[in-house]
Amino acid sequence: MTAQFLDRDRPVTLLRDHMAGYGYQLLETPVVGDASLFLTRAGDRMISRLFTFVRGGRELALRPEFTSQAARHYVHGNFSGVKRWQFVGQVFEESRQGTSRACQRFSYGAELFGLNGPAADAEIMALALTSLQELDVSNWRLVVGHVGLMRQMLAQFSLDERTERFLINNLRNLRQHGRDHVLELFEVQLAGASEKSSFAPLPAAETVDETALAQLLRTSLHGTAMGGRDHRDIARRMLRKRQRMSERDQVVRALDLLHRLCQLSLPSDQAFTALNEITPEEARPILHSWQESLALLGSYGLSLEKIFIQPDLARDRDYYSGMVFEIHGADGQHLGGGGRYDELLVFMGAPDPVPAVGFACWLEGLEAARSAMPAVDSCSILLDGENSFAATRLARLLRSEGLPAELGNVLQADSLVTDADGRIRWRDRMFSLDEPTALLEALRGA
Amino acid sequence: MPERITLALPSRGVLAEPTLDFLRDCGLAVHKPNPRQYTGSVRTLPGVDVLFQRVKDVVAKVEAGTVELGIAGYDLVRELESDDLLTINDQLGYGHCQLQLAVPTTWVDVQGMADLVDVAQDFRQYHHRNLRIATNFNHLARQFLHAHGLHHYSLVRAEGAIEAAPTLGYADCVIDLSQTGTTLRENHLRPLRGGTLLKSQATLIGNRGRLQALGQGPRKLLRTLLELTDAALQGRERYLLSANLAGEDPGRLARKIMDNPVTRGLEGPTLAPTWNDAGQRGYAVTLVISADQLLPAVEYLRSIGGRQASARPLRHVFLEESPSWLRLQRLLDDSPQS
Repeated sequence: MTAQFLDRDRPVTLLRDHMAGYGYQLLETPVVGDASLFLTRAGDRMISRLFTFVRGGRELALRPEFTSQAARHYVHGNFSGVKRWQFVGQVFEESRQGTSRACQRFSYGAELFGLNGPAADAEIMALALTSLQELDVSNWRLVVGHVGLMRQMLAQFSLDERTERFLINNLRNLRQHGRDHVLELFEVQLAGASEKSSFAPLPAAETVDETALAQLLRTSLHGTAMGGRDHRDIARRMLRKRQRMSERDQVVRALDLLHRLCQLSLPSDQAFTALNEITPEEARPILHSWQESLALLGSYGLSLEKIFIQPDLARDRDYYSGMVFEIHGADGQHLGGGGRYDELLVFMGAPDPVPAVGFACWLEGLEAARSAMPAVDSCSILLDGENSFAATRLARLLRSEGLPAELGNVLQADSLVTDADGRIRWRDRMFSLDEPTALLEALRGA
Repeated sequence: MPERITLALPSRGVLAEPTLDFLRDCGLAVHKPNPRQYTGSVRTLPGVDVLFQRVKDVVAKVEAGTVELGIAGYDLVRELESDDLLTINDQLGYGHCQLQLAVPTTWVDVQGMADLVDVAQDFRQYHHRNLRIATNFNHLARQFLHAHGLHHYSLVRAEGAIEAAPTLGYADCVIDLSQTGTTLRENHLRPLRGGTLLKSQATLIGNRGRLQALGQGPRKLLRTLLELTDAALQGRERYLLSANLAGEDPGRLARKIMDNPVTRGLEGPTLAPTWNDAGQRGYAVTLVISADQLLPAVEYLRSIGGRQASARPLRHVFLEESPSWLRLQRLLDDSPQS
């Protein structure tokens, strides 16, 4: 990225005031932080794009977003109850083209802690969308998914937690490459199907328990290097792998369900009709709450026709646990997004999940839609090598009268030309530095 | 504009002796007047100074532009990864090893990288800490682990015996160089399938800016140096095979020899007429044969009337152009002068 002339003060002020109007307090977070914080629950794609470096044995990173910092601040600052925080600043992420060039973007966003339910979800989505209107971006499209609903629908298959997360993280693969591809990945990555274990004496009986297997391993394994794992760790994992292999049928059924969900990328009213049909009884409350949060957007004066459901919407962060959304511009460009992430705060040290929902947008994407900032319009005063005292006094006078002034050495059509005695020529009229009133009137009139 | 070229070489460690042997085989024997000094010269190439450094410093000095050229392991070159560091020839044919991820042999449930990713999650879930990996190759390790979806780990730095870390208990597994795997086995470690980060051997490196700035004289020196190393490497894999063949018609013999890819040689055979005691006409054929095809070539020559054959190793084979020189030109052209 190269240097550029941008006036961000105006849009930033607009955005801050706008979010403050919803009760959001501005929180400054450090640009450099512990890498582990940003890695806590970030998805694969995001992790590979993080800018990291090591200083004094600490692995640090440039912040790629605000959410992790906000969540940690809430937990470590011992906050409780409802908190509304807004953020404005640069975030950093390696560009998608795989070059090592720094990619920095100007981001703003907000996080709402301690408030659950459709009203909170709607507030964050509305805050994001109305912030676009503040910046005169009216041509948007809201795409919404729901990780929580998907998890609840998967609950009927009683899969192990890691399998479930694997399936949700592979939704894009499922849509692009189909069920068999993801099933194959599952077998290789989680169930270890292709392996031929060098360890033979795993008893066939389904009843073998962890303790017995650990005992067996203890007596049959040779070698002193264990790393940080003991025989019980190894036994537990062997049993779990086998367990996962036996879950294969369930995984197939789960994939079928997810595949059907993927097909439901529709305008919201049609999508909910279809979703109602395939949602099991126990997941209905989530569906209804989701539907309500979207309906509430109408009360914010937002057009419901611009809302689309994409149940498998997978965002780049791994921490989302409920509703997720993305905002797209007229040409489909990604303007921002967000979602609910109640569980992230547990990873930051909270004893229980804390309701949390937030969004972030990028100013660059929005600026593209708006006209370029005009250059500052100022009076140009010609320096001719002999008039520097008079020219400087003239500039000071104009500035004190609220007229921007700059000194230059190139004669322009509109230049103010002064001599050492304080005579001033402007647009073929003569003025005097000692009697500036006429000059000021003329300049203001222009 | 530098008038001489400095070549940095490893002063000790596994690459030190083989590097001197290699240069001697290239006809570039290094003369070191005093074993305790850190400098030397190449008598066949006046104008080339030799500087002995620890192998890590060889890479660092070339990268920093203190010297023009150096020889070091490819592993270190990749670990440093810098735009100023040019890889001129990464196959000098000795110092072979691989950078390998290895786990304790007791981890019978861990067969491939996917297993390790799962185990890393276990560490967080059950031990509330990251998987610890002992390595001196942080940069390559990070790249490799992230590419395999392993994001939560801690790298443990260990000078010296990295392989001992899992036994001593300060790491769970290792990423380290391995030549034969013996050290790994002795420390009860096993290479993980799919866990090879890279294969390495001795590599000739150069500094981009310094090489771009070379004047006519040193440039010629550099070219000679690359011609000789390339020719020695080409020669190493080839034999000069001579055999006597019975037959009257040299054209037919040549065609028979050319028919077989094994005996085609670099440019086809050289035939010289011979006469035996009985006055029978025959031909002596001379061929350049790649080392692994020597016996098949002899067999084939026998089948078309060959009698005695002799072979000797070649010290230098000069191709039309030095591949390393061409490659270097390309690397230097590709970049703006900095």
